[in-house]
Amino acid sequence: MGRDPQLRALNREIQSADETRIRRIVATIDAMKRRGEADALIAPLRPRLNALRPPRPLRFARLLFAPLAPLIVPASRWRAGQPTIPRTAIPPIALHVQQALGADAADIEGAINGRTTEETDLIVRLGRVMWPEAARILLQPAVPATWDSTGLSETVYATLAKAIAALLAEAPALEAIFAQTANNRLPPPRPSIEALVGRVAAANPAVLPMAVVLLLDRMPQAAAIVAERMDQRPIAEATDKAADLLLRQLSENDQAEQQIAAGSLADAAEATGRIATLLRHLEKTEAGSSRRDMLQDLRQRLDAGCRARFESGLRDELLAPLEAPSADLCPPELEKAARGLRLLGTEARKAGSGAAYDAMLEQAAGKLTGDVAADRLTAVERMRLIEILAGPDAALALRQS
Amino acid sequence: MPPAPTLVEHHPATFRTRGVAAPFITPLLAGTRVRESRHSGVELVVSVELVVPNPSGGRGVYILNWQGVRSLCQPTVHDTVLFQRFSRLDTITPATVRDAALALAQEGYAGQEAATAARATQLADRDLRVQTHVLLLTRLMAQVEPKNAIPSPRAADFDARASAMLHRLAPRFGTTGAQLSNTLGAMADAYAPSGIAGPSGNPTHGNPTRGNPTRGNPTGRNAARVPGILERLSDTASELRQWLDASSDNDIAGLGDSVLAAMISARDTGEKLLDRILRAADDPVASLQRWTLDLAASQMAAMRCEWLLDGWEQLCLLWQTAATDATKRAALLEIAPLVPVLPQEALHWPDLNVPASAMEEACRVTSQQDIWRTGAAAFAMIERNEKLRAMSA
Repeated sequence: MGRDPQLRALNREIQSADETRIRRIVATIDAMKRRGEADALIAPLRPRLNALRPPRPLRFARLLFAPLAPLIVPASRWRAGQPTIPRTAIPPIALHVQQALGADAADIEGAINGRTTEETDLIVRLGRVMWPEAARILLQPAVPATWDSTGLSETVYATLAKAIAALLAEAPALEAIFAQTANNRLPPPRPSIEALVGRVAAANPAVLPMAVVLLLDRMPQAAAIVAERMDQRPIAEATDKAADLLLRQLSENDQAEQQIAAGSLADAAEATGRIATLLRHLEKTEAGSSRRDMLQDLRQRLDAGCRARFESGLRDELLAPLEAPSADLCPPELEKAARGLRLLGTEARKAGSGAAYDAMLEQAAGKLTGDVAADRLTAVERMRLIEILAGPDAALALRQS
Repeated sequence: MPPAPTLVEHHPATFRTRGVAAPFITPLLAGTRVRESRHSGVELVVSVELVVPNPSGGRGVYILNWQGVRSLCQPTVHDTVLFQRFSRLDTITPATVRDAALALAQEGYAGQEAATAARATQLADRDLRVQTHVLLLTRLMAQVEPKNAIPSPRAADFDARASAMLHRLAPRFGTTGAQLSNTLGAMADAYAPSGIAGPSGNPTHGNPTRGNPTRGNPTGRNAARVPGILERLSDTASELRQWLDASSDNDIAGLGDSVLAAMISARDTGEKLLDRILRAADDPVASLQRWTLDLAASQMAAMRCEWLLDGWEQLCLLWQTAATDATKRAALLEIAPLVPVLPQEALHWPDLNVPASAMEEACRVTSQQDIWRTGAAAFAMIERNEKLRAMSA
């Protein structure tokens, strides 16, 4: 692990780090001018980072590969022919594009200086111009000067570069399709999706699985539209590969459980909703028995993960502060926990155990009617918490009592 | 089990029958208006009722009491208590509805953030009223006693001199000094939201010890209600225009253009109306005389801008909190059904030249399902609506 005392200290901290610590470690590493071997420290944290999604400084490479994030895997898990991109390919390709863009890259660097990955509107605005330009550069035969660092052959580069170019060229169109759903309020626009799939199939059929992964990751409900074109063999194969990849990503390293366990209760609810929707839509596509078994297994694991997260959240984030006699109560924090529980309980029903969540929420609301809570919270504060947990009628009952 | 509510067509003739935008936070009550309800039987009964848009976005509205609302959806505690407060109001106007909502928010019913914002706004409102009162007195003294030096509002004898001036003036209007003082107080309360005491950060008149209109307004937006909303409308219209111009893919079947046209019309009419109100306050003697003759009509005239702009702030806030193209399109879908319809009464407001087209419904968004505002989404929307309450306070 090198001799740098700062890195040694960070490495120690990483062992059994909780969410707050992980965020701190990542922020420390992100702030380093020369990351070097510090990057290796982050590697084991990747699955948890995928779930936590802490805001990271917006760098050129992150901006370039932002639309391809669901396809990126550790080099150790990457296999030729799979619809994925090895993480080690990112730095040399990003540097190659940056150098080729010249003054434009400097402008981009200026625009992203001090900004973070949370600023999706900025990413999309800059990406609309940058991604097609990068695609054009990657279609040139030149190999990045630092490609050797990946340990991959130049033939692999050629294949990867073509795939990445094809996907980056379509990235603005994919963003536009997502924008057209108005945050999933409107159905995915069928003609735009069919046109995108058609363009990719015509340009580079080998890239189709990757394009479908990107599509389903953002809009699982697009699965139905793609499925209607399954009579076309390349599209059927691509959808099959994409579904396999998405399910494998959720299965490997307990990713489904980690996405639910990491982050806030609201994050867990959002992850649960997203995974449940994806599973529901993948169930609708034609699948063999092994896929069905995998879906069933994931559904059960999702249910168990939700129960575990709900129980720990209820215990640690709501009941423990309420029952700890010395703790200063912060009503907005309690409301955040209560809201997160209600959200998670609502989304988790899609995976099962609905009645159990109702019972636990009612039990928690009952604690707020007792003397302990009455001594430490105002009537309105208790009413709001009860309303979030058990609904307005339960809260109004307290008001009338 | 209450009977199922019935849809009715709704083309409001007056602002009062249109009702006042109720700041409810229950997602399914978006766009609901509250108004007085008069039932004449053996004796006249005045109560309040709600005009609830058809949740499907289709034609028609529901005219409901609270029991009827509960048959449509499960309202929050905040909304239940707010309706109870509405029922206790003497009259339903944008000002009384706003005050009731602020008082409720200040008690914490819309969360801590909204409570803090409501307290600051209540203080700023009070300061603005005091400052408007001082300004009107100062202008009145300058008009009535032009040869005398106008005392500074900070001067120890300011109140005594103002009172003496009102007592001297009262016989000219056939009233008493005390009554004239009360009328001037009512005038100040009605004119304060129009911002005659000057914009935020740059009070043109008044004594800091007697009120500070910038208090509670860290945004730099005009602390006075009406110019503040007009600023928001102007900013939103300009942002919406830019976004629509940026890509033809941004609009949704012409919704954006319709909303923008209605927004610009409301802003332009509001600015004209505000200008008239401010000009009326430039001649406080004539204004005071009118107010003495007909208090109710004068109050209504001074509040016309608030009636006109009622409901627009929520739309602006929805737009201004959307960051990405996807969330902007979602905001557009939410905003479009909320565009306030102008009642026929506005056509008869003198010299405003409101186009008849402004009476038409700007657009209609029908939805086959309510997934976006029910279930887990409803919790997120209630939280969002509470944040909007904090922003609008």
